Amino acid sequence: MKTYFELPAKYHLIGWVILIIFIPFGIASMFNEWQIDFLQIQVREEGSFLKPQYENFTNEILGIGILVGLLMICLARLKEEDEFTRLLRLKSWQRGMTVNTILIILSFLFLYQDDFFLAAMFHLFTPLILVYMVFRFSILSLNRSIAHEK
Amino acid sequence: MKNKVKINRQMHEWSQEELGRRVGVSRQTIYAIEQGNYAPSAVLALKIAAVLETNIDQIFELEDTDWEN
Repeated sequence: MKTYFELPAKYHLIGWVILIIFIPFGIASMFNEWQIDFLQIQVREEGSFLKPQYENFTNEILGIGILVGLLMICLARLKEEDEFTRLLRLKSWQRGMTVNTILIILSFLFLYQDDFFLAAMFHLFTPLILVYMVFRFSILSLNRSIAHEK
Repeated sequence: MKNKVKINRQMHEWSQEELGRRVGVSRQTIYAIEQGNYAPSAVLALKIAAVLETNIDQIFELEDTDWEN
């Protein structure tokens, strides 16, 4: 009985392609305020300082693209996925989320104002990044141990 | 849980890849089981015993620590 959710292995490559396309634009949007003009849409009849009349949805689309790409590489099966690698994956979610929570707590304690908001924005992406890094490190360590045994 | 997977596998002159292929798991999984780093599911333990042509209790054995919560 299958009780877990995973994507076919090909989504690993698709996820990376999406990330390679979206991350440079995401960085350009965040640090250079790069925007796509036709994504400027009127969202209110009248605007104010905190609620502008027009919103540009470039950064929303880029953020969603990066998250979808990260989710794909985190959920894609290995070519040889089995019960042990699924356990490693589950542990990676647990460890990744724990490390991410510690990073958020440190941000609360040591970052203020603009720095805190910048860190908070990065923390939208760090859970999936950390989960993926922990999982790949686990597989790499295992393969090193096997190679060492030879 | 102690196991004698490695000894039984070597008696059949199979590599870890070969045993993994026969039970449908990766070499990493067989390695982790042999090292005692991973206790396989009941289904996988039964499959390993079946392909090694022995009983499950001849390969896998509970340790005292397995009874602790």
